[in-house]
Amino acid sequence: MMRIAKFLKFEAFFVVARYSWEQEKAVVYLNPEFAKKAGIKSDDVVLITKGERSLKFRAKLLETAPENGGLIPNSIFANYLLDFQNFKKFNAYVEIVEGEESKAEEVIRRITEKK
Amino acid sequence: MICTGCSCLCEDIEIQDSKILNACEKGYKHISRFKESKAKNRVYGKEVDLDKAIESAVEILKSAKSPAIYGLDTTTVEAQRIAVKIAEKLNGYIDDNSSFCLGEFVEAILRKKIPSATLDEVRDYAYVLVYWGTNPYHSIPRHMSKFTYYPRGKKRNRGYDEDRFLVVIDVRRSETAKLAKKNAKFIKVEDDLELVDSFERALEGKAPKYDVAEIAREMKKADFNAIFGGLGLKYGLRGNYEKFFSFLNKANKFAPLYFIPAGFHSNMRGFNETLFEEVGEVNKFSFIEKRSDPNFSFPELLKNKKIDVALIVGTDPMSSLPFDVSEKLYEIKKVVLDPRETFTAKNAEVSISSAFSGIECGGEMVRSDGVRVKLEPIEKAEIDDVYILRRILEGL
Ligand code: SF4
Repeated sequence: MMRIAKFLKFEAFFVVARYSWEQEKAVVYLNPEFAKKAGIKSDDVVLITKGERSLKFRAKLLETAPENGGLIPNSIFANYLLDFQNFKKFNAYVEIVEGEESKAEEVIRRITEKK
Repeated sequence: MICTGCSCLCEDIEIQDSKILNACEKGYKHISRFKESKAKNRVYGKEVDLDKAIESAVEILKSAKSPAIYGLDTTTVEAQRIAVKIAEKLNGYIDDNSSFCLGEFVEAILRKKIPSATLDEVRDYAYVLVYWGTNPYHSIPRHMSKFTYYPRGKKRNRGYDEDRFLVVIDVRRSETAKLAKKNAKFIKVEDDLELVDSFERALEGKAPKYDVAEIAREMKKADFNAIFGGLGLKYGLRGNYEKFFSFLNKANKFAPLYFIPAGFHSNMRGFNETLFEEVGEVNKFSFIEKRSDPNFSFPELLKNKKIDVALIVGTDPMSSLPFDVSEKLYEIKKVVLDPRETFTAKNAEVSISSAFSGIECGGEMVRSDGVRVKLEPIEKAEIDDVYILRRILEGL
């Protein structure tokens, strides 16, 4: 069945926090209510876009994530999207996409390409 | 042994028949995985022996026009002292993560601008416990069970639901916030500065914007209250630290209220104290200009292209700094000392493999409340940060 949510982009509020699990993978923990509204299910791959930068994250659901968005563990993935003005929290767009979550090597490549 | 997984530096970890006892999950991972993905001695991508790696590090540092030393929050005080000497010898900059973590708060404590206490005093005496912009459940997992909320103390011996009043301030209902049920309060904060105002007003008996009147009343009842401030508080203050410090001092006219920074690397406070002892500043220090300045923080130095070489100790800026800063790491030469094969180590001109402080080598660290702790390693590596940094210093 075609999922309408696949074509929609939602504005969301993200908190970046120390999180004991999954810092080595690009995982975003979405608030279950927000995920339901956005039509996102656990294990979907979502693209998070902030300004000119985007990364793909594996979505998981977490009750303690902020109501209108999600939590990204403090990691190379979160740090790719944020800056010091928005170091602990930021607004970004989220949408369902095909494929796999981004890998850390991909972020490193983007850094090294700037050489 | 002492766990160096976070700034709690838990001293009750036991290793029995290869089992790690008493550690939280974070500490367990920290201790059990120390042999995984060890760094290699490498020069320009080629594996070399230790002597060659140190020799190359010295050459690069000697030829630097404007070097910086950065990191040092997971190493020992002894290594930090040598790093300060290297920065001095090189006439360079020195900085750690505290310049974008909780350095301002540690500095205020060391300069005696705000009242602070030890976690042992908190355990024995504190009534109102405020976690502001921090979620200890994940960042300092045994903070509440060892020092603050759950343990019974000398004057607090009736259990947490009677003898403690828990306040959690966060932008979301975190795991810690969910504990705020009986004798407790959760405040969902949107504007930390307005919340500071509200506390001040409530203590003065005026109507506050945020619902904090009950907390003010509870504080006034007690002879010891504590705020544990984390990064959420730091960034929520948007640079207005003085307003927060002034609130803490005003609050003390109504009720004793102590501040302890919460949630950072194992020895970040040690770095702040070491540099403070040596030069009277806690971070972002230039030995040429003999002063500290926001522009001398490692991220600012990178962004403004002020350095050409960095000696990076025990941290992975390629992974932990925002992209607009980390991308600049490619414009400078990097000498990395780390026990782990980090992204920065892999991409450094020189990488030197070191030992895990607290696990493979001993020394001293400083807990988040300023208590000094002697490490009790389970192994004794010959090559550690002190050894490598000393040899670099000699080479210079
Ligand atoms: S709370 Fe921190 S120091 Fe204590 S066991 Fe856990 S990670 Fe280690």
